[in-house]
Amino acid sequence: MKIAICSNEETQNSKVSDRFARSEYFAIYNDENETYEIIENKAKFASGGASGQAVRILSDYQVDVVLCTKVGPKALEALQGFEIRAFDFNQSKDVKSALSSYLQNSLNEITSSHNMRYK
Amino acid sequence: MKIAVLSGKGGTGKTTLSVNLFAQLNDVVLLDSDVEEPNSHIFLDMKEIGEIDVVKKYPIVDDVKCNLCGACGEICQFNAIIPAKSRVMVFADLCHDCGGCKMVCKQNAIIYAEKSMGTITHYKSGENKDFYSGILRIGEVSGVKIIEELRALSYNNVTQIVDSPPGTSCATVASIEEVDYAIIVTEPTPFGLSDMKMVVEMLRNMGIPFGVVINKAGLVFDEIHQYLSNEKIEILEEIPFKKQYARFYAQGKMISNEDEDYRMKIKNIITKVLGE
Ligand code: SF4
Ligand code: SF4
Repeated sequence: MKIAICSNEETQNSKVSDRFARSEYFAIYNDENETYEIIENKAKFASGGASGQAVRILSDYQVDVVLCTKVGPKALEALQGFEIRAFDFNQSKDVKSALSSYLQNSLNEITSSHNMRYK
Repeated sequence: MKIAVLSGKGGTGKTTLSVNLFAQLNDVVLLDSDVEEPNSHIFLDMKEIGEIDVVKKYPIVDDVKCNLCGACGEICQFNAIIPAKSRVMVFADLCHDCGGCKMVCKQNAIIYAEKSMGTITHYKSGENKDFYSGILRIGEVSGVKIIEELRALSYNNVTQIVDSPPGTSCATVASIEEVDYAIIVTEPTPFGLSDMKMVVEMLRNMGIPFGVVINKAGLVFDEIHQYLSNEKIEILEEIPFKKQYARFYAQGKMISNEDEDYRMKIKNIITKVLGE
């Protein structure tokens, strides 16, 4: 299974990013070999429709779960369309603590969207 | 004659100038093309006489015919149609109505539906002047279509004042196609100057003659004059910042009806641009 975490920097020691579609990077953790792959989120450059594009990128990397915080209505719809589950990393400050909270089953699944203004 | 009023960024006094030109002209129509933030109507005491709905097309996918080949998602530049795991998702408000997805769908799975994307409101003043204001619905991404429809309405040979969207976006370009002259409103600040340079470049590329109105003149920033004289760009007028202007503005009053100095400046711009 692959778990993506929204992150600010190109390292697994990064702080988490509280922006989903405009997150700088995604840290993708593969639980089979316990390794990280850090990818740049190209959707952050999109002038519109960043959320759909971000979800498509995650899907291209066969991500099953994404750890983020608030997501907008379009992102939520796209996540459902690609069958990617989203969990709120809540108070976690960095990628590793977000992941360990998830692995301990202590994060809540995001089931409703947050109304943000999308540009 | 058709005149656009432009600015590099919002908040430079573009709308104030547009409505005051409108107020001091006869045989004139005002077109508020700043459809994302139309606010000319706030300054004009006019009667609403009608509303036109502007519709756009967006795709609907027939899940039975669709084989999830992905072609529509590849062609769409706006992330408005995204083939997912078991169905194609459409984000109608992101769609720019370009027709691309339908063209590439070999399965013929795409048809277009129509939705309202905004409106054009028609107002009339006591002196029988017309004012049309375009508004883009919240969530919609492109006002180009509304601006094109505003342009396509017929205005029987009167002077047209177009309040354009700020900057150099597609919407701005759409609003100035076919104008005879453009007035750039700028402020004497470093940001004002750098944003204005982009507008100057756009107008030169499009071959539209233009002049500049410096708003809030008197702020100390000489580079703007240097730039304009180097580039041989005409300064139509310099409007100083005055407290009473801000007060009239806040009360929704037309400055050119209240203040003689200001009115003379507006008349001077009209003379220079229209030769009236
Ligand atoms: S191009 Fe047509 S068949 Fe292919 S995914 Fe899009 S809608 Fe389906
Ligand atoms: S019509 Fe154009 S913009 Fe709209 S979804 Fe199809 S390809 Fe995208």
